[in-house]
Amino acid sequence: MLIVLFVSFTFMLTPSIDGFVFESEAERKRYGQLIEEFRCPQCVNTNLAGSDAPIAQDLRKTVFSLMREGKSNQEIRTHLRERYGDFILFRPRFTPGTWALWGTPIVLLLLATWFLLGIREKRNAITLNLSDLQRIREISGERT
Amino acid sequence: MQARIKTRLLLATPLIGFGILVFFLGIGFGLAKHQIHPSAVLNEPFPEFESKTLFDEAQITREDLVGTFQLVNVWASWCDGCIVEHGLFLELAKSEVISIIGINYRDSADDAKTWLYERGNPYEKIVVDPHGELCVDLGVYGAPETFLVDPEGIIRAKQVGVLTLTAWMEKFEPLLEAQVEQY
Repeated sequence: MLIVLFVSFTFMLTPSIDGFVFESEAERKRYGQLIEEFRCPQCVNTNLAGSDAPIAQDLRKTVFSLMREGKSNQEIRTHLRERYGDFILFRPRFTPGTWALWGTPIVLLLLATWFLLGIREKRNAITLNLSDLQRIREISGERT
Repeated sequence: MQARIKTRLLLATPLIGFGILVFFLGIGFGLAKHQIHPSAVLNEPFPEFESKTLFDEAQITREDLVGTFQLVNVWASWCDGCIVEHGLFLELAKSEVISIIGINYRDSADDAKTWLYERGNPYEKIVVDPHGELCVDLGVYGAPETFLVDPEGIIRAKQVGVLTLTAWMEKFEPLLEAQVEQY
């Protein structure tokens, strides 16, 4: 009896967020993922999912109705970007304006690798020198 | 000799890396200061819409806005900034330099009307947007926000927040004058 009650309660609770009624669990999940992807224009470092600002409510509604119109995730992203700019995307696109953003970590990684390899090479060179020295000593010791 | 240069270069690598980081962060912070609200809708056509006017509840669409220059102002009775800029809109309406269209954003019709009775109505027409659909299409962050729409229905200037006299004179008026000569 308790289990039945519990199951029916969870069933009642799952389909709606923000008062939207979802047709399926997959649709609800997709909505949840999409609203996490966009930045709330008003409260700069919060996503749509986590914001109570009126504009965030409107944008969540927009996301939901675009989903209902059968738009793909990419189409929804483009729709919002055309209105609010790249600013709204938490995951920036690769454009001439953002190449530095995507490129810098790679460049820094390459520089760091080069640096570390350089140090190792140097160390190897020193050990070689020392063993050479020892060998020289041994040889010279044998001689004297 | 070459080895010494290589060693020096190698030792300078962290410093170079740090320099690169500072360079890009510098650019980034500089951008953030000026582009908190980038204008994605600038030089784009005013969005299609279909709504009602506040007072006579007549149907209004994008077609009713094209043909002349329009100053489109997003406002609401709950918005404090709108009170601040209201004086400027009343002045502009009185001087008849441009027709002013209001978009009543997420508001109740009664509150909006009371607000206008108390403060004066600078708007030629008022489009109601109780659920913010038109404002989402306009890329609005919140009220107040003001757009300059040219006779072809293209958004030419945008002000996020209160439209100050300085903003009007610097961003809106020159465009209006330059383009009036053109038409």
